[in-house]
Amino acid sequence: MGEELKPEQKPEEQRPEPAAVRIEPDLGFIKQVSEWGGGDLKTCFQCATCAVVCPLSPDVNPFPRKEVLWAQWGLRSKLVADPDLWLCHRCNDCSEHCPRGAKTGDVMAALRSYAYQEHATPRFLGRLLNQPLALPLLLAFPALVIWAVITKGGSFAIPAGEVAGLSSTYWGKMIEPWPWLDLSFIAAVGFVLISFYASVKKLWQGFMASGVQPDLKPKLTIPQALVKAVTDILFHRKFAECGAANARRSAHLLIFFGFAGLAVTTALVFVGMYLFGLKTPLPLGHWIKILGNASAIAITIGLVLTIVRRLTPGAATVRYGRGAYQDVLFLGVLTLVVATGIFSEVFRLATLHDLAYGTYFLHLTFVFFLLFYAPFSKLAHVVYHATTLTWAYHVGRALKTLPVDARVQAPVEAAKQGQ
Amino acid sequence: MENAKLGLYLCSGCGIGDAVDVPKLAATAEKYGKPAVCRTHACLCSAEGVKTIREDQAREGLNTLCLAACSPRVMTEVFDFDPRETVVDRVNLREHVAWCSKPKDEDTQALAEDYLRMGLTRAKRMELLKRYESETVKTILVVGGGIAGMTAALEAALAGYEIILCEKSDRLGGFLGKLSSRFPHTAPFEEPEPPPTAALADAVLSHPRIAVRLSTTVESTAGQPGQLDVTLKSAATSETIRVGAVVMATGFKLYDPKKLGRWGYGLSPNVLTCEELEHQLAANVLRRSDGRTPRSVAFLLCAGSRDPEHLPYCSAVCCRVALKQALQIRRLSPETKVYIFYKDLRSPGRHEDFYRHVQADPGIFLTKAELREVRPAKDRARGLEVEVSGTALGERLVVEAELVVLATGMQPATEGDASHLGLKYRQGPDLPTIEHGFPDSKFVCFPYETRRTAFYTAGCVREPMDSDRAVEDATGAAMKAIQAVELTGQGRALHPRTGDLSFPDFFLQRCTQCKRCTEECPFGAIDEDEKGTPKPNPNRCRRCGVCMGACPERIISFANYSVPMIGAALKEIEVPDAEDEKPRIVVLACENDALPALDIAAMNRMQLDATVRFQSVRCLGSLNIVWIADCLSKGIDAVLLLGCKFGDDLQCHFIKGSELASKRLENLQETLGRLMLDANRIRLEQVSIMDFHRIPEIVNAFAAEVREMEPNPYKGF
Repeated sequence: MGEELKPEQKPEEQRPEPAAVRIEPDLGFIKQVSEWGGGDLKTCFQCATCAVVCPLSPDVNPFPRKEVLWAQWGLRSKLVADPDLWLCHRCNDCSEHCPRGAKTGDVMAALRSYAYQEHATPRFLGRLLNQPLALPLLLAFPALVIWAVITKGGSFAIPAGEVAGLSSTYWGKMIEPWPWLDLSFIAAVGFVLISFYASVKKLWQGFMASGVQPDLKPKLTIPQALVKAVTDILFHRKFAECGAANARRSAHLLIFFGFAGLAVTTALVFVGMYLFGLKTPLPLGHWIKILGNASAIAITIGLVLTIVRRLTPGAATVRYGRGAYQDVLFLGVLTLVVATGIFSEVFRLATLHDLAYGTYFLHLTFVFFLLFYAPFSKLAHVVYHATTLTWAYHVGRALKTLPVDARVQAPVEAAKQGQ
Repeated sequence: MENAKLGLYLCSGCGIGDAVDVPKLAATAEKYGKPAVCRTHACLCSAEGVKTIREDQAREGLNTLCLAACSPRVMTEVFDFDPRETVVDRVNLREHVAWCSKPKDEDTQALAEDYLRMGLTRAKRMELLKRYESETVKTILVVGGGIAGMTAALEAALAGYEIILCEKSDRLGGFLGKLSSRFPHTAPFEEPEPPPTAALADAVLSHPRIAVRLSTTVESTAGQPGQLDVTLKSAATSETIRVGAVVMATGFKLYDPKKLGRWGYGLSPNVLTCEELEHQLAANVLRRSDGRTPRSVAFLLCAGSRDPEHLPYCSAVCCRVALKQALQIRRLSPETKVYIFYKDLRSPGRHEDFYRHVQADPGIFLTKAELREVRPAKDRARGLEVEVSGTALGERLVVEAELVVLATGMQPATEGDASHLGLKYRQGPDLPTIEHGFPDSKFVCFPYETRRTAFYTAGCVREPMDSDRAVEDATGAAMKAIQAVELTGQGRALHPRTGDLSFPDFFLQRCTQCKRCTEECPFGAIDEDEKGTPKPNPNRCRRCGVCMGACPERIISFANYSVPMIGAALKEIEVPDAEDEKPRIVVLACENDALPALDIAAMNRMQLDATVRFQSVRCLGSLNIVWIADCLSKGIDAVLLLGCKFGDDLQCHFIKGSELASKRLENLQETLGRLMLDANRIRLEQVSIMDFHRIPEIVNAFAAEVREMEPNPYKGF
């Protein structure tokens, strides 16, 4: 199959001359990307070390050199349609090996921040998510929704004298109209799915038209490609190929599976409540509860590792990246979701019910935030990476067919060993 | 010399005594040369050895010395005899015999004997040198008042010399003086800086030894170094002054952009040259022809440079000028996008920092590119568009540009202009040029030199360069001019035979007015009268002897170097009979590169075939064909000529000496035919001083070839 994937090489003289491309640099775009952590994009002098050391870069039109070049020239539309932004796992091998000390990995991250915004449906939400000044407004919306749902029945009151920490009536009283709450979340999920569908469709069409992969003949069917992409993601196979930031793989795995576990827990509880009359809160020994708590522990460890690495100054900053606003926002909200979730459980068990109520309210707000804004925030990366990887397997862009030169591979391997 | 009183001194030190039988050598030489004094010494260059010679001179009145010791290139301070009182010939027994031959061998002994006979013959035929007396002045004329000219004037004035600085325009400063800024030359190499010309002009104008003549050009220059009569012309007056040497720093002009078809100059008033843009920027203005500020500007570097159809070379500064102008444009109009399309961006040394600084500006877009076309945009209101190919971004790109700036290259200001010096020389009014019209000597080891003695070029008239290098260049040229006036005043030669008092003497009664000497002199030293009789100018002469080699009548001689003298020395080589199977090969070696290379080879104890006899020549250009004819008719089997490289990448110290020799060899073919001799017996090899490791190989391989040949049939005649 590897043979098949090689690009068709035509002799130079037979190749028809390509049409001239009209270039119109977008100064605003360059400024925006620079502000979002891509400030090093002008440092590049086109040596292509980055594209050579990158373990994930394909042989044809490799990244991230061309992305940096396009960014230098302000070629906004080319970058927005570029599939390679999403093939990048921010290993930061490029940043580590850049002879001019550019943080190429950070430039790629900044470009992704821009792309989230551009692919967002509706787009204004994408813009707002990238705008620090809009954060209070963005936070206010889920807070109001939860508040409105809770106060609908006028029952958002702390039940007097109730101290039965394990009583199921306890939570039910706090948020009397459960269906209202669930309906609002269901509506949010519906909105998110529609939004993602539109974005993914746009993304896929953009990839096809981008010209980044000249040979678009399908190499795998879409379902086959999807299976490969999903298994890659489950095992973090691409992450495993990274050099400099290889250590991120374990932290990301913890967050990924912790998050998935919590999502599954939530779904099970929902189904259980409506179909099997499951009463919450569940006892600590219940298998669903155990799944939830274990997931919470996993994601907590993953988040702590990530945050500590990001905040460590020096070489680690190059290795793990500085993080653009979108990254920080996502990490922050995710941390708050997990923290408020854990603390509301802890406070409930400790029967500190004032605190438990308040924390649970915040937890619901942050969960709504995370869910509702998913297509416009960094959480969308789950969908975009999965889509891109599927597309890449589909058209044969996800496989390296040429061997990597040992002289190049050695430092990458050494960097991996050094973790 | 007629009343020669000869002293012969043999040194047995440095291994000479181990290689040859010195007492036997002395006995043979004494019998042959009949010197008044003959001594051997274990270390002739010691204080005691030299004292012995001096005492003998005082006691016996020796006026001719033959010193058989080491190479004449070494121990020159020790064996330092005034050539006006004593004739000295140094026989190189160390490098040419002891260090390169089999010790205590009969062939080695024969080699030493031949060299001694040759040396004694030369010594006896040499005359005492007489100083060429002429009334000279030490004033230096600087032509051109730009940064190079002003620097040369100021440097020479600070060294104590009187300077006349003549400038065509009505102000000092030159090209740079008209600019408001230049690209940075000081750390941190980031921001444009004001040019240094204003301060330099003040220093020049206020210096008491510099006479500045503005609005003045040189009409003509006659005479010879130390006595150059220069006619200066200004609007009202014409005045002749006498100077000793000249520094020409007349600068550059930009290549005519109208010659650049697809670069679009003339297509629209919005296609400018860097110079035209510079005038706008100097006034803090940036605008299109309709007065609006352009939203995009495209710089096309190497506009006609490094292009065989236009200027095939790099003009050194254009890249950095464009970077500077791009930065200025962005400062004046932050909304304007600037594209820079280059072949290779050249910003060497610390100027790399400037390139990085400019590159960091988000509105400056740089890429390697080949220009395809500049054309009007489809939407004419938007101005022009530029199509390029071969960029990092893809094969073919088109950008809109409301202003297109062409970085055109430099040509010497002399190009297509009336003569800047008006030399009244037989070989023409201008300094000769070698490549692309730049009046550079292409002298390998000596920058600033031209092919006219005591005329030096500095700055962009010599070669494209930036202003810092022009300052360095001018300082070097000032130093050369000072050397010229000083040595000329003493009747001595300039580089490379620095200090030589000999000069060519013409026995004009026998001159046939063939003009070969006046045509072939590499320095234009010889003028001629109406009939074509040569009129030598000894102060212009570099003593290479090209005229001596050229003269078919052999009427040109130096007191210590002449056709009969070398001819006689070559005849002293003993040629064994054909039955002995010992061929003899004469190697005529240029003293500038081949001879030092041989010395280095000998220092490395590289062995040479003992059939070879070296005779040094001042330049292969001084080779007179009669020497070869003499050798062959005497029975010498072959002649090898070792000279410098000629052609485009010439290395000859006298520019075309070895080339002339090779031409003369072509003429020799006929003679060889008449003598029924194989043309392979004569060969010319081009070598440089760095070829020392190769020279023994060349010599020995030639000797091996000669051994394969039939012996020269003229042996024994």
